[in-house]
Amino acid sequence: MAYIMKRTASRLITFAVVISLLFFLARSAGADPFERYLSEDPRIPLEQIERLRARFGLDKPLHLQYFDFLWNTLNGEFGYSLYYKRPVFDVVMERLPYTLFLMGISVVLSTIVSFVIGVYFAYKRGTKIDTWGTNICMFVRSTPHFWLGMILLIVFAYYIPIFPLFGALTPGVQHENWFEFLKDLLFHYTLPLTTLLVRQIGMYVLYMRNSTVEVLGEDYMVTAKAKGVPKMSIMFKHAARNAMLPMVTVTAMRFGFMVNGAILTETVFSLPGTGRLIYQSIMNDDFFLLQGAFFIISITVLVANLVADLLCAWLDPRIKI
Amino acid sequence: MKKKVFLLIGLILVLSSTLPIFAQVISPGPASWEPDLTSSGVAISEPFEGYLYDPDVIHGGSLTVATPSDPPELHQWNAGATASYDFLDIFNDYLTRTDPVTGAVVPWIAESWEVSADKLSYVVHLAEGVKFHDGVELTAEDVKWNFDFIMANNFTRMSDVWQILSREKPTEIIDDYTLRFHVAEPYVPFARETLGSPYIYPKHIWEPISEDPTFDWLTFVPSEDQHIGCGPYKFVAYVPNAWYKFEAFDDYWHGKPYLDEIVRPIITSGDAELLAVKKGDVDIFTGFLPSEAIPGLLREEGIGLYLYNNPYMYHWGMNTAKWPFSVKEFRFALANAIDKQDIVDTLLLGYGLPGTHGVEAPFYNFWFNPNVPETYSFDLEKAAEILDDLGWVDTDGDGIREGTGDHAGEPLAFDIGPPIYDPVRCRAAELLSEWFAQIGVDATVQYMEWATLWGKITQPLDSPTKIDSWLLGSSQSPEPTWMHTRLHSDNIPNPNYYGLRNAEYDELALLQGTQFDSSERQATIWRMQEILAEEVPLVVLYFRQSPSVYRNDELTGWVEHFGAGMDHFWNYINLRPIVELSTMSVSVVGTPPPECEIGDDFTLGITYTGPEGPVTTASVSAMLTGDPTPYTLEHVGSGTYECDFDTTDWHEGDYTIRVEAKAMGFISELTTFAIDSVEPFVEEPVEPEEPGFWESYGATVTGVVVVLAVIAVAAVYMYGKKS
Repeated sequence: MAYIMKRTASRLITFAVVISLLFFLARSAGADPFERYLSEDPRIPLEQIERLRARFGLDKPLHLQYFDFLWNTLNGEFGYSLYYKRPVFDVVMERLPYTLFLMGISVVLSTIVSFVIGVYFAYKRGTKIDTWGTNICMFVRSTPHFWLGMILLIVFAYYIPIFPLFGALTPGVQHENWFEFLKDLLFHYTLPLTTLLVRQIGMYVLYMRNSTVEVLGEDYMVTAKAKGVPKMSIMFKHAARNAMLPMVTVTAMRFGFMVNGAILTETVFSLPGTGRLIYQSIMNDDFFLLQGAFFIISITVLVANLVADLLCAWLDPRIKI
Repeated sequence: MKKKVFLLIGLILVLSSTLPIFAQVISPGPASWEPDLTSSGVAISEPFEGYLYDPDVIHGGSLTVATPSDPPELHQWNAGATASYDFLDIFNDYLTRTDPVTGAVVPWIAESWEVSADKLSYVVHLAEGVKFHDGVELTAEDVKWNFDFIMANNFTRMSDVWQILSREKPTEIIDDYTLRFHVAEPYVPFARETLGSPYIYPKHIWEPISEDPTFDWLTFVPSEDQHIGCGPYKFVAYVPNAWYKFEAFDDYWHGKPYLDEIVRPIITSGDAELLAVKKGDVDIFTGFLPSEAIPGLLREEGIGLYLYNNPYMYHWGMNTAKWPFSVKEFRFALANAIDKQDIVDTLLLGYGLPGTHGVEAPFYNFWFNPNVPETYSFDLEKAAEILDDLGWVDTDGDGIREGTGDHAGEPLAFDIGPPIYDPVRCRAAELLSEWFAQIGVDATVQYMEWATLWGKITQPLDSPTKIDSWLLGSSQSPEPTWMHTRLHSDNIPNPNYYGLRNAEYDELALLQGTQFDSSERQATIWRMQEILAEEVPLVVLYFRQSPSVYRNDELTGWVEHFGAGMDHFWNYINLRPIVELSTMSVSVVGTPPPECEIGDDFTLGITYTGPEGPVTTASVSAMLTGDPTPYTLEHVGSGTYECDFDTTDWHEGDYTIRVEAKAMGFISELTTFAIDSVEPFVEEPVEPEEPGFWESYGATVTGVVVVLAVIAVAAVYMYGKKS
């Protein structure tokens, strides 16, 4: 219990530092979102701009804005998006499920696949399969998301038009039921998921392989082999179980960063998501949206961190909670 | 542990696959011509005919145009983003519009207007029969409510209404279709800028909304059933993050649009959008198209390309209050050291127009003064001579000239600030710096992030942080009031960042705002351009010409807008599907006699059959030799059309009947019948007929029967009394 309390307390301190930092970072650009109006239409009177700034509390000194921000955040108020003119929470929540869908599936599937392949490569270390496989993984993980995405789009959506070129849903089609909706969604997410999966598998196969290789060198593995334990059993029951602890931590952390989305993948495939939302809010000087989005990201990263710690403790009997 | 791991993975997979369902649930609904030259001032050369509704056009087809993001605002009171107007423009309508070809004001829902002698009030006549999408008719009440609502709230983007109309009594209703507007001061572009500023929203929807004590126009999000407008298409659905859709409004006052629907998918990637246009998934490309991509696109089949003029003047502006820019001759010299054509050729690859001396864009034909004296041209020697004449020469041998008098020994050095996000302006600044260096002027390019640059441009003229000179893109419009707004000395330092002070210019800028006679106003505007060419507070480097790519293999009727790509209102109402016409087979079921006599009757009958059965919607008319009035053949069922002919009034001779059948989707069919000879009617003698029995004896027989009956009744009566 003391372990949990200690971990939680350290996360809360980190959280307080993070939200203060993101408040000042969001304003460090120094741009005023309402001055944009003036550059577009110089006839708008300055008083009108001042009124708008006052509506959003941007006329107050920075330290007062900071206290407002802290107070509102503690009350669960993230304010209104300057661009969307709607509550920040609503704007983020409208996009978050799409991001979690894309990232959730890709994280889970890539973890499972790279787990199996990584263990297999480790077991076959030094063979042609391992050499070729490792090299291919190195190549794949070095390819940029947007490049791989564009190639997949051009090949499988343009020249061989199997998949759609853009969007999460077919334009203009109103789905009759949830099944139809999910079917359409999966159809649109095939190429983006492939893009993320290919790259992530390439990355985590290497991770799992290296972790397993270390375990395979342990004395107890030699003993197991000497005892005549079947190959599959050595690979997955003995080696993989011990090699997966670092993988659990990494996977939990990846869940934490899911909210960031995959800006490039979302942009190339025109998918809705929080990654792109954050990018747009920076471009539009939308302080409140940026704060809100980062706030949610901070929370998820910290929670994922905590969960990773607890999971490790749960899975590893050597750690005492 | 295995169980735990599988349980965890399973749970995460199930959860992540159901998340988008929550997105649907969480998302709040969509959370929810006569040209009027007196006010437009733009001459009509070729009247745009796209607005003339053609009832014979075959309706159908769908227009798919991408939009780069969700509309952030869903009603006009808080709208500001382009993506919001992409949404609102489709289902709303204005009182006046701008002609896409000439730039003149087009009377729209406001059919006509008259201005009073003192120019302080306008009587505006509305079109009758304009309906909102819920069937309610638009009347003067709706128009009044919209303008009064703007006056009460001073919406940021509608300053053309609340700064112009009279505060005391902005509008008054004369009758259901007539209103009177009162302006605070005479305002020449009233019809375009004030009447054409807001969409007309239905009062019966928006008044109750606005009267709700919790209503806040800045943050209000209308629900789906509140997207009611009077525009050509009505709202169907909006799936946040994915697309929105509109369908043709049957009762649109101007006539039902030819297209069935408009769908706007949200496409964030320009590359994917271009591929979608090439593939045929999207009809108009709305993203930024690099000039290098154009030749490849032109080789594609079914792709059309239209180069439109971008209304932004990309210019080099300078702080004329600061030495050395405060010396007019210096500004002249530098203007002579800029090769605008080279900028267009090398940086824009020819897709642009070199800037004009008088600042006004050459494509606003009526206002552009083609006679502005060419006060400068690219001539480095001449530029150097002007500097030499000023006595500003290089005294210390460092290659940079120095000033004289109060600025003796001070080098001719300044900064040029291009915004870093625009590579063309950054490169243009570098070119300027290279040219200036050749005449001994040191111009340092300061690449700046936009917000920083903008802050430095808008500083007061004497502020030490104000930038010396900058590259800015400022919009012009068909309405030249911007020449007053941007350059009158009262508006220093924003938006007259240049600090131009010229008494004649100021006077003319005010005068043009009071000139209701467009030729007089034109003369004033032309003179203002001459002054700008003499003063050189800014040098317009170029006007961009942007390519608009669209598919021309399924839709036709594309309207080329003088200042916009293909995604605009006039295309929404003018596009129609390209239809392959079918042939009708003709079968004559009632033939006129080859010969007949005057007075004969006959029935002409024809059956028309298309590839999919009888044609029942044709309009069939017949023309008879010598008779200017067409006969109509009525549909009597199963694709058969008939008409009775009576030859009583005919004359002796030969006749021809030409029957033309027109039907949507079919090639017109012409069938000709000849009546070789019509003989005059000859009356044959008729022998009188023998009268029949009843004609001869009917009356006698009836009389006898009646008498006998009376006698019989009397006898029966007498006998009854006796007994």
